[in-house]
Amino acid sequence: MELSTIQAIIYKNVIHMSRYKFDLFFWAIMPIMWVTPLIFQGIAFVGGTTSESFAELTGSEDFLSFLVVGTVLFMFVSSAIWGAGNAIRWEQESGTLEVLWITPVSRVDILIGTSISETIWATLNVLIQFTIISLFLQIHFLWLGAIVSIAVMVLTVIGLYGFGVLMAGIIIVFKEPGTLTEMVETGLHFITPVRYSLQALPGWVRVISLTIPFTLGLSVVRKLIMPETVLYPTFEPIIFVVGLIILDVLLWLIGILLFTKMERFTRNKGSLGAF
Amino acid sequence: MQEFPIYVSKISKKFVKTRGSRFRRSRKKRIVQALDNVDLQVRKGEIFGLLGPNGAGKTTLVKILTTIVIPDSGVAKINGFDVVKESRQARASFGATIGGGERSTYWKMTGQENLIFFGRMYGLSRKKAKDRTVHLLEQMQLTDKAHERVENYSTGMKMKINFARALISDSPVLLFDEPTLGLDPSFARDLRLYIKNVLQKEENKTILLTTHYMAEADQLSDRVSLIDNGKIVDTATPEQLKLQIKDQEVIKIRTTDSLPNRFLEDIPGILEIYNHNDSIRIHTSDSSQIMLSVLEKLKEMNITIKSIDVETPTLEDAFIKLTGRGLADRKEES
Amino acid sequence: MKKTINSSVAIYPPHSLSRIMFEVNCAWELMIKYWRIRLSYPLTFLYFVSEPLIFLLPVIIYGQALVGGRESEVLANYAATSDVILFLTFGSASMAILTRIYWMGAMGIRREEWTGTLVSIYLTPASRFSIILGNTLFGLTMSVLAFFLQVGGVFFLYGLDINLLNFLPMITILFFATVSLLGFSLIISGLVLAMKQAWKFVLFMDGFMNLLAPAFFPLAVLPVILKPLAFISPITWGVEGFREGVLQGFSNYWFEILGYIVILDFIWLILGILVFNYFEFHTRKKGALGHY
Repeated sequence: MELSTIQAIIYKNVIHMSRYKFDLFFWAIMPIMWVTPLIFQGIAFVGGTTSESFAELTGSEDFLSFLVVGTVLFMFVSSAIWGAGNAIRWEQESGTLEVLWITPVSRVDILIGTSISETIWATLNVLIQFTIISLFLQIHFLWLGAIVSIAVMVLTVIGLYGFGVLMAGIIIVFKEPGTLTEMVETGLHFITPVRYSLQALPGWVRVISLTIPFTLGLSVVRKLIMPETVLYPTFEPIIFVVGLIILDVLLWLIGILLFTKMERFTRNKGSLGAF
Repeated sequence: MQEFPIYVSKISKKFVKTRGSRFRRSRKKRIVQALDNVDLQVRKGEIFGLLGPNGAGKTTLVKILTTIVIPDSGVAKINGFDVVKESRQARASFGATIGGGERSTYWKMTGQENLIFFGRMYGLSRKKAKDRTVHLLEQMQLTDKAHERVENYSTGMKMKINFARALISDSPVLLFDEPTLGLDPSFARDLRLYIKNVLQKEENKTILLTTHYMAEADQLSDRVSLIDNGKIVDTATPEQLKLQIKDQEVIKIRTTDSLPNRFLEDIPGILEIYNHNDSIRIHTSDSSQIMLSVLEKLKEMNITIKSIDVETPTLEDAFIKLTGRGLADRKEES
Repeated sequence: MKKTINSSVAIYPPHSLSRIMFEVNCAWELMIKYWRIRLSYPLTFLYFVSEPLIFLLPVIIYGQALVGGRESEVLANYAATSDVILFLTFGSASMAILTRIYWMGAMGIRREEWTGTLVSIYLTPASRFSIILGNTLFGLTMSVLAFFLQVGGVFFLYGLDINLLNFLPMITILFFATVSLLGFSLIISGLVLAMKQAWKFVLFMDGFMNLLAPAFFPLAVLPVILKPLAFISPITWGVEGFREGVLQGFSNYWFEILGYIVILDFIWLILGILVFNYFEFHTRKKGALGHY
């Protein structure tokens, strides 16, 4: 691992992002648009922003705060799965992948660099989104817990990017990145507890969900800032954190292994730069 | 005036090019006069060459004729239909290729599917589109590739299928923008023969083609317009153009080193000199008279000669004489 | 009287009726072409057809989590049903169909620019309008397929109590809503053709229209300040009418909605044609067609 490479990649990407200021504005506003219909839905179904049935499932009546955390933090999932894979794909399409690939740099460093810069971008977005939302909506968080949450989110993001690297490996072989990513994104939105708790899902889906870093991370963060929520299964939060760390290591190992394999495969096939 | 299948009168077009950052105020605007009062009349059944260096305005003119670009002023008609006011009727009257054309067909569809699709877009019945497709695939020697996706074609085959696309509607007027650009020499030659023998002689099409290959224009065109900096410099048959300098001979000398400017100017009998890096073209009325003085001068300057040729003037020499410059980035080809 | 110089196989039809037939043919061929191309990306195709269902499931689960079952008395005050799943399924299904129709129409020209084939299409005598119509037809056919999968999926998982006869008022709404959406696609196509950066703006507008569309909540709960905006969006009335048709058949409210849609059809279509023609002319004047 070469620190200077990673730095160079981050630098390149941050410059790139600063050229797209409108994008930041755009992505900061978008989640608000996603949350708002859900609020209207709450009003139409239960006549307000609290629900007793919701409390039976999640431990909290305040479904508004509950789904705001989930929706905003889901940004990290999006950025992880879109980030690494599509950066590769983007280079492939613009014709710069082969140029980048012939530099004497470890491919994994490129991916790590990209991941870190994507995280910077996502964090900026998340902060802006929370600020805007708390200006408009009545959300009730334990802000002290939010500070501890940062550490949990770091662990979550590391795992998510391991998953991102895995996706990147798949994407350089199957050249339909948008679809694949969207598919995974829509799927994750369904099986992770973004809008509802794990208890609301069928049993077998819960099991799959528990192998996703975001499920563990989000559950712990919710517990920290909304202490009335219940974890599923009802373990101590620390067990979730340990699980998260194990997932991080596993995902990165599998991710790098698969990526290296797939990358070699495309070079053998001669289709690295092809699209 | 309506009897010209391709009729262009006083067409002008300016483009505004902006430089610098989109977000800064200090954007510099540069106005490029792509076409300046261009007149052009192509007769029925004629192959008409539009000859000029890159950036002379050839492609802009083709784009105007094909209704892709709207002119600032002037009138252009295809088959009697105004390209601005009756653009759909005009489009039904021509087939065209613009630019390389490698990406002009759908890569995810087969060659045959592409051609039938485009035929249908010209209002051909399914059967007619199919018949025409089979015929064209055969002509382009792509019959065995008919059911393969275009993405699997070689570059040359992609060009061929794009050429066939332009012919699918069997329109009376054909517009080809640099038809042989980027083609391998043998296919370029086949294509020229096809344009001349089949499209012109058998099918009596009216054809406008742009090119910056002198030989191509010379070989194919019945008449040629020389275009430079958006202006038509001269229009005539290739022979007439060459006739303007027919009494001349051209001494072509290639040397190992670059040559200084204006070092032969004091030799009497030289009409014109065009100096380009390591080669020099000397126009004269009698090469035998000046040859010795030229060689002596070169020897005096210690310049090593690689080759010397004496030629009769080509269309290129006529172009140079008329515009004062050669065709930039031209490529020699067979 | 124009005289043509050479007889050609392809002649632009001289009479208005045959011209319309010609354009319809072109749109049809374009639709077939999009199907061909789309089917050559099997993964994408599969996703497109199944996405509405995958998208709907979390919405249903969230709805159930809120009410703790599938019946909501509060909902019955606003809508013609108290069944949360029935309400959400047809709200979401109609929105999926309608957004795809205009989205495909709007994407068509952009996609041809990417692949480099826009100029080839532009060289044919087909009207630009037919190009967008062809895309719209493709969006319509594909989303109808996705609709059956979506509604079928929910029927299989949860069961739905619907009257099959009510599909008639539903289809009627769909047909009339498509006209305004075509106008909408024309506006977006024109904008994006002239200004490539407009794409972000379009995405933003799309997000905003989805926010206002009463897919997951009845129109009645929308705050007063947002209502005027919702009322001019063709998606809003399409979704509302579609669901009213399924739940109530040809009710008074259904006819009222149809009236709104017909009025919007005129406005959006005329606006669409004007805006598209303006921008398309502008782009050709600039000589920027086919650039991307």
